[in-house]
Amino acid sequence: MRRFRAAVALWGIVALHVPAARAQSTGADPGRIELSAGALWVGHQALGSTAANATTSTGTSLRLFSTSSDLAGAAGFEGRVGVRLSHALVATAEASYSKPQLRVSITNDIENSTAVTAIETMQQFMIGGAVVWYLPYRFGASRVAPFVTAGGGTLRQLHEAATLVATGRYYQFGGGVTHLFASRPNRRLKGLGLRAEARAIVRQQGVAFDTRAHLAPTLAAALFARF
Amino acid sequence: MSGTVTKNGQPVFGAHVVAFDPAKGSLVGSFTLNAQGQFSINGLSPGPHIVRVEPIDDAEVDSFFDANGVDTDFRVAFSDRVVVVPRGGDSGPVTVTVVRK
Repeated sequence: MRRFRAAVALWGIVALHVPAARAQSTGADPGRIELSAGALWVGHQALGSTAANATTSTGTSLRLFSTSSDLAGAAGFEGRVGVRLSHALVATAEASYSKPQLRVSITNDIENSTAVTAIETMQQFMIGGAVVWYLPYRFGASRVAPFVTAGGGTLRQLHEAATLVATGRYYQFGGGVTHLFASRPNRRLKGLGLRAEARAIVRQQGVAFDTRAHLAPTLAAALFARF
Repeated sequence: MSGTVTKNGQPVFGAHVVAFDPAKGSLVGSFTLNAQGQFSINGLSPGPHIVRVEPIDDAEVDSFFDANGVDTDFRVAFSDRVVVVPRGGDSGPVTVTVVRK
């Protein structure tokens, strides 16, 4: 427990350590609001393999065919609202939307049917929150700021024609950089910039043909505004 | 789940239709039971399903139908879309096209 407290205290000290002049130049004062909107790409997720086994009249199992399923990678949109907790920490609420394809590859048919991939297009909504920690390093005349982020939320996947919904949870962690294009400390709009990041999303439940958690690499880019 | 099996644009009578639930590993079967090639499979669990259509084995035709009109001259085929069974409802029409052997 002592070690944990020490780690938390150390983390807090480091998180809060950003030179004040630098923070002011980017409009990154505590209490400030950040809005961002952009595109993301959620990578492929393997959903496992299954065999379709029939039971014969003698009670033995007979494999009719095999399936291998995945949720294909898909592009989508993402929006985020953040509140500066300190010069280095931002708490965000975020939502994303994408339309991945559920693909089931059918092989090894007992009657040698041609391999087929059955497809369904789904709608995926992710709503959650995250904490962004800006690292105490700057590049490019202080306009490029690296960060790490971690968070989680709920997942809602709608099957085709919205006939059925699958819900679940997700957790994510990753990092990236923000590049401030314009800084106007004395205006209401303090800054404009680009945020680029890579995350790993771990999904639990939702559409799945097994009980495992599913990992998806994710890339995102967004324009942000600081107020 | 309900739908139709066709061959060359014509309905197929007596085709064996199986719905497979990859999440549960369950298989539920039925037949196209009318001249329109329509089938219906009840009691499926909600979720995505794979639909497979096969001809009845020649030796079994008399076991299920009056053999007249039962089409067994086609290859095994699958629906090219994942068929979603809603909770307490119907999947909407599923069409599976088969080709001659």
